[in-house]
Amino acid sequence: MKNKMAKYLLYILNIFFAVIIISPVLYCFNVSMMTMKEVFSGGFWPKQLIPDNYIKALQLAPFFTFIKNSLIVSCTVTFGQIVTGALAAYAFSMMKFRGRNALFLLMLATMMIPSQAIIIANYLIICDLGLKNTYTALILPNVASAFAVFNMRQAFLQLPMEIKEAADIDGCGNFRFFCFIALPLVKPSMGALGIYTFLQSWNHYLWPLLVTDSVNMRTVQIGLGMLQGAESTDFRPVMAGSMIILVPSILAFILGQKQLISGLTSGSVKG
Amino acid sequence: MKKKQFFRVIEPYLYLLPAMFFFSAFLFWPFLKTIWLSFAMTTPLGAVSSFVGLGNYLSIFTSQAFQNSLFVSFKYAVMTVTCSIVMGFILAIISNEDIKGKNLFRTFYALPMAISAAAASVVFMFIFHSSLGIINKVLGTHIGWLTDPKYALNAVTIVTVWMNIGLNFIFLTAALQSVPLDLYECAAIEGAGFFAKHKHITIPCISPTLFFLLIINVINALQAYAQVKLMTQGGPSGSTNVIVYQIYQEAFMNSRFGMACAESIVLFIILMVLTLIQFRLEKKVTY
Amino acid sequence: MKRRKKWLAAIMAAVMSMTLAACGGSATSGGTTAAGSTDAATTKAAADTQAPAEGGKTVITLWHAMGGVNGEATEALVKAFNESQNEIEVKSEYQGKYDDLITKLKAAMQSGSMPDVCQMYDIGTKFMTDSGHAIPVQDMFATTNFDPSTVMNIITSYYTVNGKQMSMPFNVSTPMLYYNKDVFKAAGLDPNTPPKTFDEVLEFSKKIVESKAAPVGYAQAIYGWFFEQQIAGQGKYYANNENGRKAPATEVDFLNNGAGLKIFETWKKLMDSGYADNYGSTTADTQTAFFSGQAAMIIESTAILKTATESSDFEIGTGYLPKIDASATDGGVIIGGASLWMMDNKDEAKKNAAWKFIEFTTTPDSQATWSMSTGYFAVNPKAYETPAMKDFIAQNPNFTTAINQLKDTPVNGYTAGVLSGVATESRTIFNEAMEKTYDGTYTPEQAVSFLAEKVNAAIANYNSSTK
Repeated sequence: MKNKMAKYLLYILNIFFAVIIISPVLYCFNVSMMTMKEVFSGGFWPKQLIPDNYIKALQLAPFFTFIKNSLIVSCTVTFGQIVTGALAAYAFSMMKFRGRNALFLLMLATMMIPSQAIIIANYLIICDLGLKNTYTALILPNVASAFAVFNMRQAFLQLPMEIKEAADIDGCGNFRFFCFIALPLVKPSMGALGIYTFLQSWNHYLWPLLVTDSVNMRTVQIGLGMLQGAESTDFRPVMAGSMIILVPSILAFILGQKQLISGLTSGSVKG
Repeated sequence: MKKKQFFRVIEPYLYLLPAMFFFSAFLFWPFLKTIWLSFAMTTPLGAVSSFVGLGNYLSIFTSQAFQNSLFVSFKYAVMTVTCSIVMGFILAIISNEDIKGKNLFRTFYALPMAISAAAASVVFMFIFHSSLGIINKVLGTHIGWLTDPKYALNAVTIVTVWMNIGLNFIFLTAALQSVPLDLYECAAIEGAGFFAKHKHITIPCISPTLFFLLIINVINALQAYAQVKLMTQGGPSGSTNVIVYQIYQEAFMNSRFGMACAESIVLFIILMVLTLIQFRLEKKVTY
Repeated sequence: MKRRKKWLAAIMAAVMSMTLAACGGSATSGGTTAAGSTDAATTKAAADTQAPAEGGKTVITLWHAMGGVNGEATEALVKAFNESQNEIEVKSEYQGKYDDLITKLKAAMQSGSMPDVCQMYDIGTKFMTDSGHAIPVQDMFATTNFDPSTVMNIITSYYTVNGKQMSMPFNVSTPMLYYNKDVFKAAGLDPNTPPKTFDEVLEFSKKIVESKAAPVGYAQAIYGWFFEQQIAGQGKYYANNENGRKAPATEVDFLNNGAGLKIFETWKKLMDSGYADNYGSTTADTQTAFFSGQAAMIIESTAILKTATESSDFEIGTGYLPKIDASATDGGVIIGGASLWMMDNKDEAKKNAAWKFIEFTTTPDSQATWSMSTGYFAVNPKAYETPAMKDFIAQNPNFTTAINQLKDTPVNGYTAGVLSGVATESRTIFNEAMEKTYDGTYTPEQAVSFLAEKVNAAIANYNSSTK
């Protein structure tokens, strides 16, 4: 009896929160289906489902090219951050060495530098290297991040010490342990980190704008900007554009979710 | 034998090398440039026009605008950090139980993360509009959510919390997966209820993640400026003028890059101090 | 041990190859879809956006901030130029909104990768002039026998510094009054007689609200541009040294000449009356209030006429920008928008090509098409005589209001607008001053003093940094 009530309560809570959280996204979708006069009449639901705004959005900005570019950049950045992050985090959490705390703090400090201060300097570095308008320019400064290192460090710290001790006794080397034991155990964290990093990269605007010039190298957020006018904006294609670029993000989340919840079956000290 | 010793010693540094290489090139080096520029007055183009020593820093500390932005940022950070983490935690818990449609709920909760600040700001501008907006319609009020200094910061906070719930939610969900099930089983046998279970088992077990999220949320809160730029432009009456927006304005709108660099350094120091304090607390609080 | 080293090497190789693979994707110089070439030379050449001549053509780049419908119109214009001749090809690249565009241009100036033609908003004029990287368009007039009177004087006066025209006006707008004709009728007002002064605005708003024809009579966004307009409207200077055009401005003039105070007082009185409302500094919010029928009158740029007509469920009327002081005879409106600048890339062929393109944008046909698609003014008066334009105006009578307002504006130092290097910042400070006046923190006197003091400090700082 108690269990059933608890279950109902959980359902109600979930539905309640889900509705609140999803309504802005739903509103965005609704506006993308409205006529211009409908937008300003204050209603929430559109009176029809029309693809006009999506067609307009695709006319104004080549979203498929942008999505392709953003996918290439975001996937590479995600992979890079996870690899560099996991490696560094492993050292910080599982190894002892001189200057460990100082280096960790130094690395953490990089998260506190406001991006506005360094974005132009990075742009000039890219120009000097002759890398303007390339995927490399979009990817390079984001290959490593202190966030990733920090997150993976916490994940490794959550692993019981007994595992490492057992491995040490067995004579298992660090790298082996890292690849075949530690990493699989932190899959949920890697999944979460992957989702977060992918979406962060997906949402970048100013950096891609600075380092790319031609329209075929641009990324999705710039595409959204292209839909907005200088004096006034028709918001419907903007909402349609937002919906279009939402789709790959959802796919990324579904992929990451698998990693996220895989920890349920991986035991801890039993192995 | 010596080779083995040598390798043992440098091994950790090899693991750090990839990350450190990129940090040095794209973060440390530009940061040094930022420090250098903070002691200068710059031309509108960004080149140094003259060195003013500590002049920029003195202007900052005597400037009413900067003091106001410190206060606003602090308020904003406290509100967004607590709401984001608490909400994220609640959502993680209620979607972690064994109910149908779990995956669908999870996708919904993480979805706001996929919406960029630009798109979210446009949507919320409509939602918060004083006459056309849904919120006023539903509540039957005529509040200027973005135009009244009393409410503007709350409105921007709501948008930020909405955008950040996903982040906290996914990391807490990941952390929940690593809580050993046998602990819950023991608790169930001992008759522990829902709240006790979470208070005594869940929270201590995920405390490294909670700590991590606390630091991340604080840093994010003190670095978020896109929403402010698009919805309120720091107003009304400076009530949403967070430090980072002030920096953005100084650098890109007022073209006083040297001053912006000085403000960045000040923000950096503040964040460092806050983080160090949190790390001291970590030792006492985490499991 | 050996195995460990091998694994490490493998990881390093993976990281390196991943970076190299990323290097492989780059834009080819032809601007077609990105091909995956791992040739480093191609990467470097592709990175250079100013590609060498293709098949004998001079290729030049245009940077602009036109998104949405305006972006389409820009592409159409560029296409028309490219198809009209065989020597020059213009590549147009969207670079974000005006604020982002100027950020990018500044960075490009530092790295030596500027475009050949760059659109720059009105308030960026002093920056461009002082930067030393622009070629004044007037220097190019003689090369193609360009007649300077092709463009209206009132429009070029804004972009003329020390007697020389620096850039070519491209998208031009002025502010005007938009009003809801249906609400006017319901309130018993003549739908064809818009208010001409702010006294009349207050009077009409009272009628509208009291007759319940609309909840709000009048609204205007908190926007520094409107403040600048009203100073010119009173026939006064914003800054000293004749608005900074005779010599660089060193301080504001609106404090001493009383024009600033009059503006704050008038607007505060309007807001306090209860018949007007404030929707903040985001212009889109005030537009929304008007389009949705909430506010019966607003002032906005002439460029939003098309959007307004399509978004509103009522008949729209337009009128001249209301005046603060009905007696000011040499007052008028200042043009806004943006202009096209020629950037100095030390390349003779590109310079000439850039000028040819700019000249093309001023022809009557180009301007007529541009104006009809975007709602901006046609800078060339002959454009209004083309048949297409005549039809368009006949069908959109509201369009003539803007044209007539510009024709009726005297060409003088007041309506040329202020030449200031700190215009963006001045507008931000204005926002704060206005907000604090509305909420009672400042009296109008305090607000004007605050604004003057802060803007003066900014001007002093700018002048000392560009010595």
